[in-house]
Amino acid sequence: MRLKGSYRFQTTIDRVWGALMNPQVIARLLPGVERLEPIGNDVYEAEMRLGIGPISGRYKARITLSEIDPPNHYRIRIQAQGPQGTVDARGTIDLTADDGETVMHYEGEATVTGLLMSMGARLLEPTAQMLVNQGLKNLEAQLTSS
Amino acid sequence: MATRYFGVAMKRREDPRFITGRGTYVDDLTLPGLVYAALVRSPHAHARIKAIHKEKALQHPGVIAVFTGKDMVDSGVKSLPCGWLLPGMKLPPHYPMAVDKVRHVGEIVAVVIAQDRYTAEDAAELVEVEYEPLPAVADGAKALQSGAPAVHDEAPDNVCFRWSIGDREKTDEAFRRAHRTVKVELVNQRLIPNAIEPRAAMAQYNPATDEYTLWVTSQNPHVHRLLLAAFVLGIPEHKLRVISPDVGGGFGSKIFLYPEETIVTWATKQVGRPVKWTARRRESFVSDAHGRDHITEAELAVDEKGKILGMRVKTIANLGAYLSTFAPAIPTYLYGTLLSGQYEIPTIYCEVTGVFTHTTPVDAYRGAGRPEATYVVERLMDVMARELGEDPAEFRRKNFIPPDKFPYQTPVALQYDSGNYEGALNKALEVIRYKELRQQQEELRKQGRYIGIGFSCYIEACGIAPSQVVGSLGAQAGLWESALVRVHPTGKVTVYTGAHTHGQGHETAFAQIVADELGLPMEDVEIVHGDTGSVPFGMGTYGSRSLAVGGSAIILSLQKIKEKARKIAAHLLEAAEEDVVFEDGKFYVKGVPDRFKTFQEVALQAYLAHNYPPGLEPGLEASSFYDPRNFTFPFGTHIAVVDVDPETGKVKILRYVAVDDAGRIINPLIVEGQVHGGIAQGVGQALLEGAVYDENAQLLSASLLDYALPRADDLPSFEIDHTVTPCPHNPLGVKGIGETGTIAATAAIVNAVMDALAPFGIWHIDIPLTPEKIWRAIREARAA
Repeated sequence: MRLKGSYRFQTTIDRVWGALMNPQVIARLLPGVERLEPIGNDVYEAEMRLGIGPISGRYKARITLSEIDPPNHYRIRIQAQGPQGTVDARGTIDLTADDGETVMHYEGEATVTGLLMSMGARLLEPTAQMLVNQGLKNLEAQLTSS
Repeated sequence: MATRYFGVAMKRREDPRFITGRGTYVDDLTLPGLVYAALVRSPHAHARIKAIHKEKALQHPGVIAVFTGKDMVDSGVKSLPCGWLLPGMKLPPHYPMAVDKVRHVGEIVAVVIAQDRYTAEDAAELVEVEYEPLPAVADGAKALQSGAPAVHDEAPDNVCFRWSIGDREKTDEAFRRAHRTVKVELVNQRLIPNAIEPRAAMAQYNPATDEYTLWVTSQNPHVHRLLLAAFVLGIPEHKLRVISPDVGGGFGSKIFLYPEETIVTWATKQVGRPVKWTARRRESFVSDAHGRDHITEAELAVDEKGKILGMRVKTIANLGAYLSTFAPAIPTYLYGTLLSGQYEIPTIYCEVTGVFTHTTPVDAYRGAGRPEATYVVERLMDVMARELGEDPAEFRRKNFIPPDKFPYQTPVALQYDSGNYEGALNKALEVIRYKELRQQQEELRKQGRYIGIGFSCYIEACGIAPSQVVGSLGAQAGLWESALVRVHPTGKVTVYTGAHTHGQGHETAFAQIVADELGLPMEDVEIVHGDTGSVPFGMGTYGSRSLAVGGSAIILSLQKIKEKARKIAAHLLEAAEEDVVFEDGKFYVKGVPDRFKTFQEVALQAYLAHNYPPGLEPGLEASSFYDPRNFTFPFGTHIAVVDVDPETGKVKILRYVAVDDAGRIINPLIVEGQVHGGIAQGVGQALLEGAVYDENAQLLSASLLDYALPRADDLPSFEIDHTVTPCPHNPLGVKGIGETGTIAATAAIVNAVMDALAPFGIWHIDIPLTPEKIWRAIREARAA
């Protein structure tokens, strides 16, 4: 499964970067996160509730950030395991300042196993895209309101 | 003796209980103290198991125990055996639960046993398994490439076996001097059986007697008992009783010894409670043995007159991650030996590479090897006819083995005992009104409508199987059948057959035979099967064998019963034994029919034995073990007429004619039902079904949402007819009809679609022929 897209935030790059490096913001940005705590340098452990149609379950995830280059770039890896399968996602996030606003490019690929894949394959990509879009909109709302 | 039931289309005696919800399936059974098993299955196609944490599951209220593969192996449980060995074959161990590595999605890593099923399923989600994912391969051809991830250390190149049949040099020589040759590349896609009743198992251990009872969805309970007892669990065979009650469809998928029944039989003793497991449909998709999965290159050579000179076939057979019970036999002896079809082919050479992949094991599925062979042969025949510009029916006719050449020795081991292939073809052509149909096709093409006519002239080797022959080919068992006929003192009869019915209607068809032979009403005959506690050792039901082999065993026992009863009757009638005749249920002295003893009177005397001839044992029962002399060879011609919409690629079946020759028919209604179901499954493979794995060997078509089974509106009203060429070597003259539809239909449909698409210059599209594939092929053809 691949995800790729861009998003324009109507706020400065520093504000966007700051939010993206804040675990509590990440927790709200990622779908279904119920708990997220740092367990090391740029490594977090999360509990997520994920579901596609009838296949839902609680997943234990490890989130690792690397190649951190403020305020422009980082790499993220999410390894989640739950009763219905596993997700191993890797992606990059790139920010560019543009006239006081910020353009985000994101790109990622995920390997999905188990029931999540066998039952959900056809819904996986659109669902993930929808969740990402939702998350980004929430983030923007948060950034511009505060 | 007057025949009263043979050949009569009687309604099945078993159906009232099924259609009124009174059938008794494994999942309907319960026992005091019953607990339930839920299985933790691997989400990975290939991974090392680093750790399994049971604690959370064990703490869950209602959970009784959690076991892993290591627990089973530590207690002495052995690998599941393979019942058919080929020379040089790699046989890696297959434990009921994975021990260090998982090798396909759905492989079992742990079992949770709990008070009720819901608790067990919930707690199964609490078992934490740490995996280290490894690269995986699902495709048979890719698994053979260098650098492909190895499924087993024992087979680093993923080759399980290389097998061949026929004369390579002679065949190559035939191709060298050929007038014309054609080549096809065919994928015979992997299918997933979907019996209505999912697999289930319930086991109970009695510590007082040290006896186990296993209720299981099995097509062959004695085989299950033997394999479980002697090979895997080390239970003395006489301390294990296996009962296979009503079973809702098998299609081969319930032949094999699976991990699940092994686990519950082992676990019941560990927990001291009876344990039950029933598959959820999503478990069936990843754990029932799959079918087919061949990649084939096939060539045909003809001379100037269009007579076949030779055939060359090369097949990669995907066996999955482990060898299922009969896996090696299917793509070899049930496939390569069938490649002569109905035709005189002077020389054939076929080589098959059996390959391990990170997928669910593959084994027999309705037809088992023979649909794959028929698909190769009948696609080749069509492609060659088109290459030569000949009518496909006439090209076949010209190459048929003529009726006066039987018994016919093929170049691929089988000796066909009988056949009249032209008879079936002619009848099918007549029914479909072939000439008119071809004219109609021509006219419709002018209007932009594309209809196609497809043939499948198939042969089947069934009635499995002569023990000596299969033994010499690698079978680890003989394939005879048993029958015990017990006449009770009142003349009622119970027949214990080693065959097993799971939709075939044995309780009716077998009773028809018995009632006729003994001159009894059907109601006086009971057919018992599926219980090792009451039935003599038998081999079960698969390979369209029940009537030809199991029915013949019943006939042998009935002959013994009649012989003994005649001795008793002769004594009662004060006549010489050779003067006594038996007719319509009565024994009388030849020429004096009104002085008689009824079968019931004789039966009573057999048990009272008060006035009894000296030297004769009391009682009236007989058992027999019938070993067939040869396979039986049903054959026929199926013709499909399809309409392909060039704008959408959708195929509509307009007509389907099946003319089958299954020898003598005992119950035409049952035969028709078998033909209907068989064709539906063959159509399913041609147009709809297919297991799809992604590049990580994840099964994507793992539910009925994504795996398209045929539905009523995908099928036309079938036109069914028969020719009758009795089998010359079994007492009933019967052959087998359970698989013919599946064997024939796929090729008939595909040939029809390719005939419809001929104006576009399309020669082949791989099955399933989905609208998308056809639409793309038409679009590419139009662009070219």
